[in-house]
Amino acid sequence: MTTLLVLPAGIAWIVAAVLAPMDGRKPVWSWIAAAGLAASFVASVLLVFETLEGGPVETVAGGWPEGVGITLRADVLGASFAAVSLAVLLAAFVHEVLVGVRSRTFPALVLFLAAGLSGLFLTRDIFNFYVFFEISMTSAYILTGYREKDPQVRAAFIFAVVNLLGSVVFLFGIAAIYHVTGSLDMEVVAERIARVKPASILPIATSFFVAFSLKLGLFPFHFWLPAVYVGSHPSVAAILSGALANIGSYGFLRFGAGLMPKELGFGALVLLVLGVASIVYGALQAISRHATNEVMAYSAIGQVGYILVALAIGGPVGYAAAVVYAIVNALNKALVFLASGIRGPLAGAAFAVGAFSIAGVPPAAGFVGKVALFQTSIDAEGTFRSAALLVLIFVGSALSFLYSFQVYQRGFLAREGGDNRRPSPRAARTLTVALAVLVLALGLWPEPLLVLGEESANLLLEPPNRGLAEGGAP
Amino acid sequence: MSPRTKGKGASSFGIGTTSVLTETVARVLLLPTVVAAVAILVKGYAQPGDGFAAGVVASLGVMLQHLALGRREAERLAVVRHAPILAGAGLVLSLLVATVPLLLGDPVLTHYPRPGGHVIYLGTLELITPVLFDVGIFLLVFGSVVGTMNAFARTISEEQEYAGPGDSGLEYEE
Amino acid sequence: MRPPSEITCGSPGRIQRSERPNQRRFTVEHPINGALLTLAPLLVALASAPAAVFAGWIRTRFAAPVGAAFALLAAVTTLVVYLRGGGEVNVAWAPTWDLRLHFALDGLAALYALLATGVGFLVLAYSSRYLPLHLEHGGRDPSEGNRFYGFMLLFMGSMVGLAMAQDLILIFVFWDLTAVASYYLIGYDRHDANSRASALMALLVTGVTAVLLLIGALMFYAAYRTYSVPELAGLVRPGPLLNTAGLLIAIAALAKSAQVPLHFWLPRAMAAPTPVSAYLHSAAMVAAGVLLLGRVYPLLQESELLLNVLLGVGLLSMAVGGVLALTRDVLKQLLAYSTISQYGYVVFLYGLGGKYGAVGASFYVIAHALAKSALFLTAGAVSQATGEDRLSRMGGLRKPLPVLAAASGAAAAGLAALPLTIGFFKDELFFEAALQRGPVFAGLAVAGAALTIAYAWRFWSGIFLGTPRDGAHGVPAALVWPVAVLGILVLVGGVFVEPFAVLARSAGAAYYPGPVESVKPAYHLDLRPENLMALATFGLGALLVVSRRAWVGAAWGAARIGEKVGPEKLYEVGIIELNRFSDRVHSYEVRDLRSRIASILLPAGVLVGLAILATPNVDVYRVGSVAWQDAPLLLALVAVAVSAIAATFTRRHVTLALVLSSAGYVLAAVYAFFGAPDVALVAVLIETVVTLLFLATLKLVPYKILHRQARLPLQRRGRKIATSAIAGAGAFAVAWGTLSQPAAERSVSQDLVELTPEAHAKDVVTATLADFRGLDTLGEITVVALVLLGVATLLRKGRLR
Repeated sequence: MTTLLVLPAGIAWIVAAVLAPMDGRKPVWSWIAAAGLAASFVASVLLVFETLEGGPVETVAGGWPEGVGITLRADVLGASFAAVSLAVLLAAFVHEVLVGVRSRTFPALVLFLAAGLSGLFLTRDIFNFYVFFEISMTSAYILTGYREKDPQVRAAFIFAVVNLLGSVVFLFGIAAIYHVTGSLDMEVVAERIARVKPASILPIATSFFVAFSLKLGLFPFHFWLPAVYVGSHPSVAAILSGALANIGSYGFLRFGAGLMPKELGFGALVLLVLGVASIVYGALQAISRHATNEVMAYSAIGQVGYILVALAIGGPVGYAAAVVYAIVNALNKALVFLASGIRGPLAGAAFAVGAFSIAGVPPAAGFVGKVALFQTSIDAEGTFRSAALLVLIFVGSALSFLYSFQVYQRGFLAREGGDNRRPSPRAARTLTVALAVLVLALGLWPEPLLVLGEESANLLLEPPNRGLAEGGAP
Repeated sequence: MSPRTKGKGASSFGIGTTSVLTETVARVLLLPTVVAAVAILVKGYAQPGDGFAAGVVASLGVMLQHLALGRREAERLAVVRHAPILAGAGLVLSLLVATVPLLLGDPVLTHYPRPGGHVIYLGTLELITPVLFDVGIFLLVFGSVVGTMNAFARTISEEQEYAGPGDSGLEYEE
Repeated sequence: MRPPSEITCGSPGRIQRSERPNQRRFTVEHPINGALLTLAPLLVALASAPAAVFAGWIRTRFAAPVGAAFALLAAVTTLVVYLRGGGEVNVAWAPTWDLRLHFALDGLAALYALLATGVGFLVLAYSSRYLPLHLEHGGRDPSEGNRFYGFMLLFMGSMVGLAMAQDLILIFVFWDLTAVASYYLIGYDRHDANSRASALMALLVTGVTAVLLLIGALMFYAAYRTYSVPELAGLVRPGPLLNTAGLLIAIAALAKSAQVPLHFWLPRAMAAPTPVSAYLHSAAMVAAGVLLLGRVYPLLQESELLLNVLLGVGLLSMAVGGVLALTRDVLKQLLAYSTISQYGYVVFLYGLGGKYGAVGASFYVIAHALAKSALFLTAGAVSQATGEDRLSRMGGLRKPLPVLAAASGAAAAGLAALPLTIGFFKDELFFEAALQRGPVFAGLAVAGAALTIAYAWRFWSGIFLGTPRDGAHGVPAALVWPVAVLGILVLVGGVFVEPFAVLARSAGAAYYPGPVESVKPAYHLDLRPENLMALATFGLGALLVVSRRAWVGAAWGAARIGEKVGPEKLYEVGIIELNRFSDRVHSYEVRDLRSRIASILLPAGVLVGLAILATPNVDVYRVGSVAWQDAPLLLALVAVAVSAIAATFTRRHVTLALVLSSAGYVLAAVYAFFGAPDVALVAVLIETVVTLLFLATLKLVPYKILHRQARLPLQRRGRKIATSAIAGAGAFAVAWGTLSQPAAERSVSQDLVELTPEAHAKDVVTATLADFRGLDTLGEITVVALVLLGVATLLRKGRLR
């Protein structure tokens, strides 16, 4: 089983290294890349099943004792995020292959990104997380410049500069954590942090919070996001919002709920305020934007606010809701960005499914996320807080109806039939429709999603029961 | 650009031209640099230094060629021309060292011989897989840095040839 | 993965559900067969949309007949299953959340399912002729009909699902499905901006209020751990929870039923093709609202407050809809306001309560559906015949369209509740229910019913009576016979009321806690109060008709006021203002790179400040001591600080690069000083390469640009300094707080040092990089390789050589 653990990152990594010097515009290399990505994806799905049935899978690189070597670990939370991110990458990549890859390095970069993402979701080591994080980010910076026109290069530049700043903040936090706990292993770190006064940890936790907020594009750390999503090519935008942004949600869950739950509790109010601000701000901004991808970029800012709210409320219901919402949101965003990049029959239908999902209309999967959010709000402590959250989330949801359908009508419904532009290849449209069908299917049968959410929440709420025995109190 | 064009050619990166002395020193220094790099790589397990540092040192040697002799001269060396291939080979080599143990049923990145195992020495060089790993790192770092330099040098020389200064490039600030 | 969590049934409720003698549960010996049979109406209805689309895909003209056939089959199946005693299916859907696929074909479900499928069949038959004309008129391809039939049948299927669903979340799913279908049907003429705006309005009003239904359901679940309506009925008690959650659900239902003040979407929804309007008004969408009210009536009736809300809203809708119907000139608008008013009666009946209210509400829905769909189809047919859609441009059509005139006359009479039509009985029950509440309500009921007579007459007489106009021609038979069927049903119901009454009673029994068997609408030739009220209504109605001149001005005035300050205006202004506000907010968005970076540094610093304020423990910050041997280190750090400060004053790019790299070299010296020669070596090398490459990068930018940038005046200096200071203070606080902590009791670095010989190495740094943390190294060199790829991609179009 431990072999399975390294497969998602390993396959993508090796295929990426081999493909790097090849001309990725040639179909043969593109399809080999797609096959590698698909294999990684399948491995990650198998891992999800494995972790659901048998609990976390772990292995220490180099065969060293835990804590000395880097511990790789797949649990339900990490495996689910890996599977979802790889699914989005696969969809976006195959979409681009069907439309026609325009850059030599595109397949290799997507694979490196896949390796980075699956690596960071499947490691138990904080610094190793950072390394994979850097692999993912670096590939993403370059991918953003895909097609190398002015807007793309400009977007890549903004993206790289702002997010490198985020990486520095993150690295700073890691160094601080290492100083305080003397370890980089998440289990040990969690256990030792629990013994330190929150007053010492809270500023460090804040630096992690800033780094992940930046990644997610949470208000007020979002100012880079619209320019980048709008500037980049649709399939890259799908990758950024549907796969890369998962780092942020996962980071919040793993570092916040998993490593520093006490500090998370301290910051709950701030998180709630920022989350709600993000929801309302993103939705408000989205309303009057004209271009489809710009609306969806601001929508992304709003949607991640929900994840933060769920995290702030916490507990089994809140954590589960955060996981469910993050997964649903990733799929939604991938769908709408891909659909916005295609033309011809059924493009509008695919986008509509995404729009309904964002607005939380069943049977699109977004409704499951919305239910989870409302459940969480009702679950929140205090009648006033609960009522205020319900009202604000309701307002956010109402605004999401408005912006999703304003842009759908303008960009798709009004044009249907009268659109004389050359339609996208049938296979690319079919793929997008397939993604739409997946979103519908998850709404019709949400149980798998809910199980992943619940199991992840249980995992995060488990007290740190393992760790270094030799690292006991002095 | 300047009248003192005694040397054979323009330096890379459009920094102008160089003197004969610089050129001669650059040529002479190439070999010692490479030797130093190999030393840093090989002795890494006994003393400070490793593949990473070795790769950078070696690429600094190439950098000197670029600066002193120009792109065309620097690229006469096959390793410089094919630097990206070296980088790719380095990455693949390191990845193989990391993943082959999986086929043997060991955890990823297990090195051989295992702790307590017998190690063959060739002078300072230890025949252990970490050294192989380090060679991969060396190749990759060398290849990447040199490849990056080449890309810069070519772009700059192309722009100077075809466009002349001052009418391309992007302005990012508003 | 987990056993399906079993639902625990609540204590038997106050509502005795055993009162349905004709309802026989299927025996458990054949659970699959039983379940299939119970679900048959739903399955057929849901299968109809794909079937019709598929048929239309093969041949465009197949779509309508196949769709109609499926609708008829669904209607027959519903009837058969209902007559066999209905049934119930209850299986787990998503056990983690206790969601269940709980369907039952009880009286209420049967009533609405029959309406949806039966009226659906007639409307589809009508559409088969109407739609080609409509598409031809718009110059569109006949194959676009597929879309129409697909969504019509999806609409029908989701109505059947909604009727049968017993679980609040399941109800929500079908509820929104009807909204989706209606969105596409109202916006069917999607090239038309008005049509799209109307569709968006309908979606926003019904979709957003649907969220309230969801919140209400979740609130009930939070309190009682079940979404099942029958179970909840036995559990809820009056109180704030019931009032709040019930009110939220009621608002959703009232918005769907187009009740004042959320009624305005319905007249706008007339942008849809006529068959859609007919369906939407009689058997789907609007009917869904009162269906939901009926479904959750066992919960609502526990709360006096909620019943009063229903009373008030119903009354208001009766009045507003009735008065406005008297002022509209466009045929479909008139009918739309009439629908608002008619569903006002139904809501009012729910509010009145009692067995007459309960059965009356259901009976009212049947009678109204038959009459109203006939009138809509009439409106469509006469518009086709004349090319006009306004009452003022019609008249005398009884000559060219005698059958239509007769059939729609029957329907109008039914709406007006004249004797010998099914409508008479709807008012009889209505009056009985009102009488039980008192004379005031009886008076209001009479007044409301009189309004109905007035606008029913206005509609019918305006079209068919008066002087004939030129240009009217006949219409295809398919536009007439569905109206005739409905007209005949209205008349049949006026004579043989019992079949309809049975259906209404069994529907009422599904949600009314008391016995309803005694509710038997019939003719009574005596002077009982109901009859007197009916007579008064006829008189008042006739008076309204003849005295139109006297009051029409006042009615126009009321309508005008409504247009100026009504909810529709509010909606439109709201949308415009939201867009405008959004634009204004957008103008404050940061757009340049410096501000983008500041917008991260600043909140980061503020958040760290907040974190420190939240945990004001001064003792976690400690000031260490400085010894003499630290002097070189301090000097080095001072040098780093100086070069950092110098960098802020440098305007020339080359100088900047050199100053920054000097800071790097000094830091490398610090590492060397700390006894980390490996790190120092790498730091020096990296610094050198990076500086050289940076200078090379500068060479890529034309000199003019660099020069101009270096000359740009510094702007907003104060703001920049403040931002930097706050961010710097934040970073300092984090570093200080961290370093004040004693280093961890045992660091992993000790393990690494101890294990280095095990790794056959003498240098711990190399062993760490190549062995202990080799995976990190592998990752980092991959990043280096990626940088090469990036440079190649951006500079050389991905060519590596």
